Amino acid sequence: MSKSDEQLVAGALAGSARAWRQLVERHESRIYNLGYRLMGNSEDAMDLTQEVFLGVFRSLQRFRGEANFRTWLFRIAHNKAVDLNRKKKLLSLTGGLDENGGYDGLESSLRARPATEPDHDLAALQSNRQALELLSRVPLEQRLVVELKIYQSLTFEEIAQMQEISVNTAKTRFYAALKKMRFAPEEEHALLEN
Amino acid sequence: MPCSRTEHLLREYLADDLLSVMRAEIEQHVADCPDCAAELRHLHGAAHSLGQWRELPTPRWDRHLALFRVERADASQGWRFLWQWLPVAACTLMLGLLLINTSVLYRAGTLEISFGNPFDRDIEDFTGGLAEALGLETAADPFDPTAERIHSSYLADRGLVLEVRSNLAAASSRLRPAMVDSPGNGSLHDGNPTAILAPAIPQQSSTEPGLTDIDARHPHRDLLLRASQIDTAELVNSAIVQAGEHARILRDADGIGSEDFARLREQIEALRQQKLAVSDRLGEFIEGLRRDTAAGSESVAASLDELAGEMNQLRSRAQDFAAELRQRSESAQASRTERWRNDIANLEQRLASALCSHDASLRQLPEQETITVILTGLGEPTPARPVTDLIHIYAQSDILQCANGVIDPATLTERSNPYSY
Ligand SMILES: [Zn+2]
Repeated sequence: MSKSDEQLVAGALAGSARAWRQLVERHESRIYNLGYRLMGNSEDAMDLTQEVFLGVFRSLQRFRGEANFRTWLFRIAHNKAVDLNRKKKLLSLTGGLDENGGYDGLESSLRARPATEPDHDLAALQSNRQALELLSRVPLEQRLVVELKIYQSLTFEEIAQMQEISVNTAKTRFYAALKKMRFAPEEEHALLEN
Repeated sequence: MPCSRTEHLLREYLADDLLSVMRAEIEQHVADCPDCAAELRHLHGAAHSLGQWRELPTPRWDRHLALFRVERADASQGWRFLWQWLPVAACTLMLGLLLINTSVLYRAGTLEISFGNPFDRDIEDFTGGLAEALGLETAADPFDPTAERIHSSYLADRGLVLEVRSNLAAASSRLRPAMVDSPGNGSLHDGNPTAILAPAIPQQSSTEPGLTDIDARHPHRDLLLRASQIDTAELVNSAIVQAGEHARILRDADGIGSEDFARLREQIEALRQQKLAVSDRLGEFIEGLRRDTAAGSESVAASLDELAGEMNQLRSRAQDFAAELRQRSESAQASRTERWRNDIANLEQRLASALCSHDASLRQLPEQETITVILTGLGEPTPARPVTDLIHIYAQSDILQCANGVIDPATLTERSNPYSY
């Protein structure tokens, strides 16, 4: 029987490297994929993953099973994503990069990326690229709501708490995001014709 | 004219705790309103596209294990870890060394973890180069969670400890010299074959008609005594069992393939059947002799000679066969052991060369410190511990000498005083 997250946290706090490793292994893929969707490329996704787990490591003691581990993890991921995004923005500004259109560099990150990445098969790449294209249409705070709602199935209440906004605002952000992600009429035609 | 309620209604429709009356009301409206219906379809379309995301595998990374080990590993684990690389000497010195300052630096969005030593980056580069030189990365599945091939820890004032898990270790259970089965140290060839026979083949001689209480007046008494002295089980059986054992060792030492092994097994089984047949005939002969007191001594004696001759012939065939297989299995084992040692020697050589050539990145390691390399699972097996680690402790001063061409890599290996633990 596998141990619960809470048991693994307790084990890690007691000094078991094995428990820590199991804990990270259990959640890293979820965080890496979250990072990929938020940042648009593997490198940033990996940076985020490392920072998230460093954050987890640094605050293990503060996690006392107050929330469930996953929600706690997402809160850290959420904050780290905002941080990382701010840093990247700052870097691109100081570096004099002018990004026309596209939010938070996700779009430019998509554009910069060639159509092939060696690791993944084409089908996964296409559906992922399409999802990334949709996500790149909205700013990070909306993208985060979409991430937490669609991919992590959090409630608007949980999302609102993380973003320190009202439940209504969370819903509005989600709706606004989906609205921007809907296919334009001509795109829909193209899809139907293909 | 577009519907003015779309946004409000659809936003509410998303709510987690939507009341069923509300749901029914909104659905009713959407069913009647083409604007809202179209918008809802679009939203569903977007959500559906997002839902097509296919999980990507996480690239390999350290999982902050090094950080964890330095900061959190508790006393008992620390001890166990130390125990691996410093079995006897200087253990008492170690306690205080685990207390190492750790700091984390953020620099322009990238993260650097420092363990309170100024050349952590160098260690990372160094282990990377080492893994490459030892060919550790090539065979590893990049997404295999157990593929942490080199794990490094730095202990201030002591030096760098590297745990190396080579591909050789993965194959070691097969390649490792057999300790337990070894014909050199087993009971197989010692004086008392019945000891190993006992569980394998039932003793047949004891089931033969009572020969110990032959009537002193029986006319064929001498013949019966002779018959009872014909070896029927022990030596032949012993040879057959030994042949089987050696055939198995031969196969396990990669000396023969499974087809050849099957053929050997057939030959051994044929011997066993022949032996059983002669035993049966001998039993019948004795039984007949006991009952038929009138039979002529001469013809009976001739039959007995014939049976004894067959049995003797069988015995020497079985013994020759066993001896031949023993010899083959021993040489197969010897070459397996040699391959194993060659592989390890080769690894040690590459290790020493790598230490010498990659040393440039670790020049900051203080000269009085050491680089301890634990080759997991590559130590000499002992009867008590079939799997041990091979440990080299290289003095930084020796490594520097090697890097400067004062000594060669082979000497470096020698000076590292390898031992198994
Ligand atoms: Zn409507």
